[in-house]
Amino acid sequence: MNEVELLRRQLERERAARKQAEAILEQKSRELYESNMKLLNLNSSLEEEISLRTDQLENEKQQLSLLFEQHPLPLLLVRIEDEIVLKTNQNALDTFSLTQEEIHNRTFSSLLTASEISSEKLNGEYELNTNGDTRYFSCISTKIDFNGEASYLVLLNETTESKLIWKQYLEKENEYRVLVETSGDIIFSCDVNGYFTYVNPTASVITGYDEEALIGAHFGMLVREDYLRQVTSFYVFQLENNIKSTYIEFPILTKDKREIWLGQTLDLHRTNEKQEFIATSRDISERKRFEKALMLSEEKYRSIIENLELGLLEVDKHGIILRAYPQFCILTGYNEEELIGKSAVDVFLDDENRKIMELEAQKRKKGQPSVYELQISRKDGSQIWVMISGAPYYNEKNEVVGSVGIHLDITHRKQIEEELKQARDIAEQSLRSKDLFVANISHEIRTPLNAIMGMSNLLSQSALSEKQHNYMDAIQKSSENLLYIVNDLLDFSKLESGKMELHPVAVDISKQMKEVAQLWETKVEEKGLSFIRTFSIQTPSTVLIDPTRFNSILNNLLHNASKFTSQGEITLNVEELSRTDECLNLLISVSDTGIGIPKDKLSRIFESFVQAEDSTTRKFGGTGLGLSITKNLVEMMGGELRVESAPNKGSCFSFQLCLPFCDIEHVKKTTAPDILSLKNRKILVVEDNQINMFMVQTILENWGIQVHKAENGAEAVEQIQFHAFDLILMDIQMPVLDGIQATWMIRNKLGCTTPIIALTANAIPSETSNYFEAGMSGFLAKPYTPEALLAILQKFFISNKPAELVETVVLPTTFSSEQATVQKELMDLTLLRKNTANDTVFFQKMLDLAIEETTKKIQELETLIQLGDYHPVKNLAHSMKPTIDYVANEYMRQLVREVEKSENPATGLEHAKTYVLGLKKLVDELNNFVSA
Amino acid sequence: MKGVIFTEFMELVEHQFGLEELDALIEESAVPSGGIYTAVGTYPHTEMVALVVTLSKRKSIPTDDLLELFGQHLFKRFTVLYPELFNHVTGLFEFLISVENYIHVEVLKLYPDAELPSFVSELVHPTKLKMDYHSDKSMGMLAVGLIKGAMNFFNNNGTISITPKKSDNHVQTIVIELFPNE
Repeated sequence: MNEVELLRRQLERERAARKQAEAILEQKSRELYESNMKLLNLNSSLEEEISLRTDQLENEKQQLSLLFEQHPLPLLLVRIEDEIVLKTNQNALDTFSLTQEEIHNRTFSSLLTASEISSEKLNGEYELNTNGDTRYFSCISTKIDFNGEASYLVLLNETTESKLIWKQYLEKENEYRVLVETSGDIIFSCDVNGYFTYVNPTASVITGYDEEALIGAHFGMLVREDYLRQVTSFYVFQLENNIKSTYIEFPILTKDKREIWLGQTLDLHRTNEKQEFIATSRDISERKRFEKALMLSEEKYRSIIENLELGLLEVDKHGIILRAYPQFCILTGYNEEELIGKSAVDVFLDDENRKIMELEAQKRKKGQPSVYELQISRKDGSQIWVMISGAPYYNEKNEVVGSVGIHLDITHRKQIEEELKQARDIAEQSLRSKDLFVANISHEIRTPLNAIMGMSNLLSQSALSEKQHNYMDAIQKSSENLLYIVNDLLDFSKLESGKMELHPVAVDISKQMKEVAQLWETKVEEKGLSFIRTFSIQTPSTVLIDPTRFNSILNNLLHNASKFTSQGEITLNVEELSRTDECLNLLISVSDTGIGIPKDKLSRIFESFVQAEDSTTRKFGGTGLGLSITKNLVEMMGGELRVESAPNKGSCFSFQLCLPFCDIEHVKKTTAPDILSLKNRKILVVEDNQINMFMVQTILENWGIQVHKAENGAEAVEQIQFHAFDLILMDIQMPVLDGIQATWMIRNKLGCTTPIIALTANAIPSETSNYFEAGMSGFLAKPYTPEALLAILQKFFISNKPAELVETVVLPTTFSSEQATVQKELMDLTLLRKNTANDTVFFQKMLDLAIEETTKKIQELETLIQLGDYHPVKNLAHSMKPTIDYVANEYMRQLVREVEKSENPATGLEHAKTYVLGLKKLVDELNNFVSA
Repeated sequence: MKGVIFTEFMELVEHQFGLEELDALIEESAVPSGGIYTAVGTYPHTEMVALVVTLSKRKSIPTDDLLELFGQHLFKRFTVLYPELFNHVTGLFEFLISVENYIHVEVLKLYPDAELPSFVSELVHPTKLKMDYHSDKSMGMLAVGLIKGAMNFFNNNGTISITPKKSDNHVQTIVIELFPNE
């Protein structure tokens, strides 16, 4: 590149640079010019601005003046130097009730007095007192220049009203403060971190720490250590979940290490700037101690109850289980969860026990406690017996809300009871067997004895050698003694078992005594003794007395007298002591000149099996029962047997009786058929035997009685629910429901008191007590006469008193199998004739029924005998008894009883075969009789 | 960057290496302005960087050395062009401290669009001054050259050190320590 070129390029760059520089300068010059122009304009507008501002200032001055004059608050201009009021607005004049002239030149302090000494002049609280009223003003003053003078612009703001409110507020606050400070509860506030910001004096009293120690301290320093974690997390939870108010109970330790329980209500207060807790804590130590004591006490009793092995069950008033205690669970095999909410009745009881429970539940609703026994089902299905003591429990309104049952397992006791009952039954059974045995044996002995005595009597009247005569005499004496012994035994067994009963009838006592005396006179004189009787009884002398037993007493005493006397006399003395309209008072004595009784033995002679001397038995024989029986009989008749005796001088037995009179006319009147009193009476006859039913019905209807019929106990019970009867005649042995069971139900379930008379063929005395136990009013032994039936009915309808006993007709009980072979005719219609009272239609109808029934029963019996089943045979025989009694002879009557009563089924069936043969013959005979 | 820096640089190159070299430098660096600068104008500083870097290559002189030399030269020129700046200044440190507080303030009055570095000065010792140089334009060595020029102007002897420029930091610390005067 040549130099020229180089320079040219340099020149171009220089020119370009110059132009660039010129352009920049041109630009700068223009900017300078414009700045100049602006400056010039600014100068000229400045003057305009000043005049504008001057106007504005004038305007503002006027506005300020207006503002001053019309300011809603009182305004004063006060010269600083001497506090002279220079200017006021209208409001200020109104406030002070002064005119512009009046206020002018007054000092500020002559207008208002300062409420308190203020550091700043004319600032703060001032009071205006006018006519006793005080108004309050808050003064605010500002230094200003007023027309060249240093002044205060004072603004008065009336605070009378707000001061009043403040005052009220302070009073109120004071009240609250007093409330808080005198509260018996601890009241405190603390920040969210748990540091106390306020505590009332009670806090110090309770905790022992003074206020300075507590303020700023953490609440955790008080809380018992083991509770701190719980309490802290409780409040953290409250805070985190923003719960307004909570309650918690915890123990604290006081400064002197005492433990105090607090119940604390804690409110969370949130304001915009902060949040804090405000709490009220009450000393609940006393309550806690009480609760603890209660808990311990509960625990104690619970443990006692648990250890007593009593199962407790709580149910509500609907029987729903609320709580089952452990022992109850063990008892029943359930656990508590399985039981709660269930019906106790449904879980534990079967239908039968449910009924008992329902009755108990009724009591419980009425608030009655009770103790009862039930069988309950365990979980495993087994049944246990429990004794339950149930008691209601109440809510605070004293309403029954449920009941608590204490259950004691008595299964074992029940087992023992059952075993005892069985043992007792067996014992009673054996006792009954003994009674029966004694009675039977006595009969068995008496029958041949009668024969021996009768025969020997006949024999003694035949031609006998003297030696033979002596033998006969010995036989007769021995027999007689044996008869006494047997009679004594019979009486004794009756007395022992309490079955001895008196059957008083109308007896002419005078006549009766004479008969006895006559008998003994012979006997005594035969023995070579003299017999003296002294009777002093006036007429009439018909009294009510059991003649048999009365004779027993006399016979026993006379027998003794003659037995123990070898020489001298025996005296029977009867003396009428007094008489009233109602009764005859007699003194009866038997005295002798016999061996007498030593004084020390006198007290024992009435004891059973005791004689005065052991040697007596050997010497004189006897059972030693005679005096015991006599004494008992005398006492039963209302008297007392006494004895006076001296050894070798003799004895005197005496007793006094007060016997009720019985006018013979009266007796006849009451026993005569007085069918009028029976008319339209309603009687229910319960009888399964058709013959008996028909007979009773006919007799009763003849007397004008309305007869209702029931074929068994169950039907009777049903009818009694729908009809009212005057009397019920009840057979004992019946199908479905027997008479005893039916009576029990009528009395106990229906609560019916209508007299019930048992009609029974079971004449064994030990059975009759069962009838009375079941609630029967009397009984009539079958077969009975119409008179006997009438008598018992009248007894009830006239006296309305339950009959103790009514005359019974007992059939002879001797029975000999040989009779069967010698018997020619089995039919015997005597009883039927008597009971049908010559009513031929009735008699005929009865016969027809007997034939029909017997024919039917024969077939049944034959079938049963073939099957070898004794039991139904037995029942069938029983049901046939009334018919047989009416139409058959003694042999058949006994035979049917043999069939019914056989101990051994095999012999029973044997008897039954004989009985069937007899029945067939009987039916033939009856048919023949009817067709004839 | 003010135009005076460019015009002084051009004059220095022409004076030192001749017109031909200047022309070649302008051509090679291909600066957008085409090498046309006036002292009253303002130009991007990148053009200065491009010129220095190209010159460094062409003459095999490190850029730092070139900048330092240019700085010394420029200071000498300033004392000629703007003598009023130095009227009232009595010493080196007083002058250096016034750069930030006085000279730069005055420069901005004249040239409101000027982009100036800033200094934070600390007189550690009467003979030791620490200056934190704040700039995003990598002209630290130009500053060192200017300070060297000033040291010559005030007849002081001493050492000048500068911390290296870091890419993530616009601050370089310059420490000036004077030898005690004999």
